[in-house]
Amino acid sequence: MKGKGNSTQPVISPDSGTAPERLIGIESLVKEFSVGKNAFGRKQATLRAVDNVSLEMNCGESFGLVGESGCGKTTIARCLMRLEKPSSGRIMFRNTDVSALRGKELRRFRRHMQMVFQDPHASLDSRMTASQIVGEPLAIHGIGSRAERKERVEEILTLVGIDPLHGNRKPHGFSGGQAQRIALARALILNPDMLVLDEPVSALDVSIQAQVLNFLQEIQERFSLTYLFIVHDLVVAEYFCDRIAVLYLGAVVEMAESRALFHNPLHPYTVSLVSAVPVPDPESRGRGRRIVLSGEVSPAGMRTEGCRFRARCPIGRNREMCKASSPELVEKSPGHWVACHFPGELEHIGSQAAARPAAS
Amino acid sequence: MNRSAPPSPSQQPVKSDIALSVRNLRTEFHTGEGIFPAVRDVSFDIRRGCQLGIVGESGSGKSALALSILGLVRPPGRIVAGEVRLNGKNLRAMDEASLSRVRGKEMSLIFQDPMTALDPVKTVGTQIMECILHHNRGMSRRNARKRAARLLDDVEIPNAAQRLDSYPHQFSGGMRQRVMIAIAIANEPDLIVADEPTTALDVTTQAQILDVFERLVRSSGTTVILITHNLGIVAEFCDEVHVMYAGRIVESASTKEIFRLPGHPYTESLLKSVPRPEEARRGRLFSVAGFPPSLARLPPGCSFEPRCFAGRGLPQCRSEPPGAIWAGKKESRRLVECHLANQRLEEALAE
Repeated sequence: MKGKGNSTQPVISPDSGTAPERLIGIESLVKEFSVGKNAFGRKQATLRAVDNVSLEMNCGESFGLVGESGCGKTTIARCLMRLEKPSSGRIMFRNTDVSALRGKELRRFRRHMQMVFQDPHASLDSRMTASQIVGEPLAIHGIGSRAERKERVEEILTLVGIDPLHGNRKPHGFSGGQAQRIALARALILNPDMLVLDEPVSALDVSIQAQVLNFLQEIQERFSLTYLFIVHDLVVAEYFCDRIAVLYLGAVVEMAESRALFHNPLHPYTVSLVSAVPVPDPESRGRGRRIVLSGEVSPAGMRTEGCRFRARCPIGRNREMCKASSPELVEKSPGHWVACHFPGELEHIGSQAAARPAAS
Repeated sequence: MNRSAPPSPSQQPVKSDIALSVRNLRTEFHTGEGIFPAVRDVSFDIRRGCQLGIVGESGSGKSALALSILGLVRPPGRIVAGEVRLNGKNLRAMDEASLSRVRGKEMSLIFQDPMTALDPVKTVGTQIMECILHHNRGMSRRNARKRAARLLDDVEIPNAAQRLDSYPHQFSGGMRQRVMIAIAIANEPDLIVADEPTTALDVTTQAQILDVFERLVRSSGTTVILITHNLGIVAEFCDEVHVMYAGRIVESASTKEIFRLPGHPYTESLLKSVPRPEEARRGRLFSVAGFPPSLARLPPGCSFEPRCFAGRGLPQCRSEPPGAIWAGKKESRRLVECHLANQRLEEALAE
């Protein structure tokens, strides 16, 4: 189950013994925003939205980014897409440094990576028809003749399960699930290697959510797509992703294969996240399994000394070590990385943990 | 004020066991594209102190039902028939003035998005005090302020007395929702309707809010209608569940039973389409085929028939709309609107 190679970078291949091919390598990514300007427009403070994040994604993998709002997950995705320029660090796509690309090269790179947003009715242009929306990337990149484009649009609409006859409808003429399929069709039409999915099912009903998740799996297998899946619903993340990184205030605090992360969380923040998920099983209620964190995420700019999670940590709040130094992300077991001075100390007392053998 | 003590017989008529009673309620939206019956002749009772969950997909009529109960349906929608009785009083027979005395006092509402419900130019304290003073003529502002501070303290907002002078934008999403809860419980209502109260929040904040809310309503014995699409929240929070589909309550049962043994194929489909932590990836999720029907053009028989894994194509399901029947035995007994309910439950129990 666990990865073979014990390399310095966190790499697991869940399916095969051969070393997986790396598609994305994020190296020490930092993104700062200036906030609060004084009367003369001079910057007064910087907010570090992403703080020294390193991640790798392999070809064909679904990689999940999980965390509360404001933890930097969308900023990482936007840097990856080059919608934001990183403050420092490198983003490697295969062997190209994306952060250094400009102009024509940048545009060519963007064909390989597409993004799908949370609310299709908000992200799709309401004045364009479905066919125009889906065909626009072809026009932008100057691919094919008008007739060829039309054919390709019809082909891709059929693929996502939208009748091409409805192509002249505007987005609001479709339901949420259908509109999300149109957004996916637009993302897929350039044959990308990678899709960045920013909360793609959060706005959908459970029944439609299931349809879209199934469909995402189908097209992933068919086109060997790599997914970066940004999600706040941990159950969806665990179900859908091969590996998950948990972010807190712009930094990765834990990263592991999704099963390991969910069933054996080591960082107290992950433990509290897992325990906070409402489980659709009334039998497991009232066992005191929920660890409710005090307070809320403080703005990323207000960093203090020591561990970034200390203020809300159920185990480290008053510990000298947690006050004195910020824990490094280290590999506790093969493929399971955690940034905590006392990993595994806070246990998840819940239905999953009770069923899990202690030695796992 | 004091709700833990039994009501004294001299004051009010003794409150019955039933907090809210809805009979044949029908709400329609009249638009240029036709008439959309969002709530179709719905009847149910809620026991005092019960926490009832209403689940269903968007467009199933759950919010329309909530607004109808509160008398807040606005054009093009209107309630065309039925009765809503709160503590025995028929709310449908009241004029707007009497209704507004009931709203905020005997029943209150918590919306999904606190930012649209709170007034951005008034301090949080002013807004809580308005709600208290509106329903307690003669109370001094000083006492109202004291009470507002205590309410903020109840919903676990730190430094409550100071935070009264803050404006809504100075609070985070979770804190604003706490303020909404404080306003909702300000006059110790008998019924609180919460429409997706935590949907816009992170899981950790959601857990905090639900904990606070549950503690407050359980200790005061308040009846709650919680509208949500999150089955996990229903499982953790509610005693009973109503499942809505196309404007009808298609199943109502205790939370425990509905999760153990869903009686309606739609309920079963909903439960099966939720990803569960234990499930291995690559197995496809169960998904309900097709989309909810348009309320303007409902199928002649069971409204779920075209999507139903159990009854699709069956002559009875296609032609006859099922009425509510009691199905199941003993503790698993519940109301279901499905022709196949008894047969399906018996088969499931036999296994």
